[in-house]
Amino acid sequence: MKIKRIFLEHKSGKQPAALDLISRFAPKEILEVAEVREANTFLEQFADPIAEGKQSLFLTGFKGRFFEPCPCTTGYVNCGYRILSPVTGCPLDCSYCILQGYLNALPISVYLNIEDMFAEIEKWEKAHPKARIRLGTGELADSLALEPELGYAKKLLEFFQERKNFVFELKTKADRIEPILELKPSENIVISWSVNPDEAVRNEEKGSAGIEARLQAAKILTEKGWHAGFHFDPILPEYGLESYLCLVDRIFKQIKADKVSWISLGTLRFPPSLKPVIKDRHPQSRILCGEMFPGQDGKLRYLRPIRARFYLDLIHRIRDHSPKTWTYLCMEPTRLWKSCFA
Amino acid sequence: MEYQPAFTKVPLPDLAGEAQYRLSFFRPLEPLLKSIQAIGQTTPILCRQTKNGLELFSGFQRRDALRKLRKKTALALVFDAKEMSEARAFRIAFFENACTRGLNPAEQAKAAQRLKELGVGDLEIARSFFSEAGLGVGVNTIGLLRNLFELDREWKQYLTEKDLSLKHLAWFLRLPREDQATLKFLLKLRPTASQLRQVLEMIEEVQKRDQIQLERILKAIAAPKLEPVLAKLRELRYPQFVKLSSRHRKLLRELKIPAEAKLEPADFFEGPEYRLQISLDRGKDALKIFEQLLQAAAGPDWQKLFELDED
Repeated sequence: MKIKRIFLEHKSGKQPAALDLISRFAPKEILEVAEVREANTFLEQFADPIAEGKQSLFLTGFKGRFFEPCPCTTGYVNCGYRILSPVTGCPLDCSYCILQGYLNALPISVYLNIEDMFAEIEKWEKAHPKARIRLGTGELADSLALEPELGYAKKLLEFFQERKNFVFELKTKADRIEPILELKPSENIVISWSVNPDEAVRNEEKGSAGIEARLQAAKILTEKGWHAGFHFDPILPEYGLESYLCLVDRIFKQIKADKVSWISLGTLRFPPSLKPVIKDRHPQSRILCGEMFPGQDGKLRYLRPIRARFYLDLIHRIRDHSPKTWTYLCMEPTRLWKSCFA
Repeated sequence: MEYQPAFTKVPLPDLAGEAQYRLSFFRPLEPLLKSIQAIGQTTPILCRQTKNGLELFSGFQRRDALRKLRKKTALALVFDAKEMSEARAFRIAFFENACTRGLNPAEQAKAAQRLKELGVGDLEIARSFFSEAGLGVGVNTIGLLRNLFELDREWKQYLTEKDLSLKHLAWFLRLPREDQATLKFLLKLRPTASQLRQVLEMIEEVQKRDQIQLERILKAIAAPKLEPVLAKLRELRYPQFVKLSSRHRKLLRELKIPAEAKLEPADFFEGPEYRLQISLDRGKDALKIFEQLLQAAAGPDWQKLFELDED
């Protein structure tokens, strides 16, 4: 997706990293702002400020922690994952995306001080020499959607290739694997794709690569020795169980099972406050038509038997292809885990 | 710009301008009638003097009230058409109405349509008119207002009276005319605003989910009264939930749970958990209620309550 404009925070404006990104993204507009609120005000004049924000970058420095435990959700099984956020926001426009109502910044925030991020991780590593953790950059952003212009994916991979006690994941719906192809594969790196059936991708994941392109990208990388992961998350039952089962078949037809590090499963869930945003911004979407009810954490979820049916059938199908592939559920209660993996 | 209007009396039958400028729809005239009857006309109406005669551009409710009171003339400020263009006159009419009493959706729809006819773009309509008047109508809503303008009078009046927000009506307003007409049977069932919103939302969601014609849904929910229409729609919209609920109700009957005890599934059947609530009063035999419950819990069917996935 083309970046139309870059907002430059005054104090970050003259940094070489900022100038470098400006030359690589070559936006039509460059606007200096004192802070992100000013960028928001500018974007709010458009009919769809969120869509406009997805085509805008905000270059800034980040003063907080880049590296955080996944917040998961109250009352559900914790995944132990850690999220790393050198970028927050995403140029893709998925109807179900929580970021539409979650972030305070309309433009995509690109943090220029990623050296501080690496230092933070090194510090953590020193303090926890025996820890082995899984982490990734695909939680508050798409790990590859702004590549290769952004250039962060390559830097991250180079950094983590040397650190074997981290299992680092780039999670994406894009097929922009050029930065990865420049490097040698590592055992502790997993490139993973969020997947959905073709019809769901066309209808709900605007701006993302088609499923065939994602699988092709995964095929190329795994054939070169990289490990791949797949996230059936969010599963959208409106598009039919059969289409999801076919997708499992497609994955294992193209990717060798021993190269698939993990597969996660999670049906759609979102806070009720996102409903009007989805309705307004994605009138073609079918995701509000499911049997969803508030769960313990207040988020809307599909009725439990619907979720259980999808999980059980998908797990069986995955097992048919690859009994050993680590498969897990995302944001589900212990009871459902037990019944799915009994 | 400084205007130099003439303050005068104008003959009521001679006033044109209804189609171009009138913004009042579905508003009661009685309060104004009473006021004019009591103290007379205190605020002049606003007119343009054109070469074809007098055009009223603000004060249609006052004009209607005066007519009803069989008055022949009205106090007016009359502007020369040279200093008061049609667009300027409409702007005044818009702000005079919007800032003093607000505009209902039908009036907003008329305003959006008329501004388009006057060559004003959607963004400017949103910013320089609706936003400036504090109406909170964004540029995305202007299209919906135009759809509302096209709607037939009966629908328009109902939606305005019920004060339904345009965002809730977006799907309905974008439907083809013939589908809107098909849905008109709903008006005869006299739903409240919230019921109408629910019905439209459920129909929309079923249609999108099942990718079927509106007609098929309407055939499935047809009933002479609102309650069965709503029940049938819920069954279509939430089939699994309705199935679980009816299985649960059947089990409660089989278990002979006393009416005083409510055994409700927690969190929409999320797990095999129930909340038990017992209502007791002096006239009721508490022991009997507890005995019935204990009997049910000791019986062979009690376990079925916790087997949610069984049919």
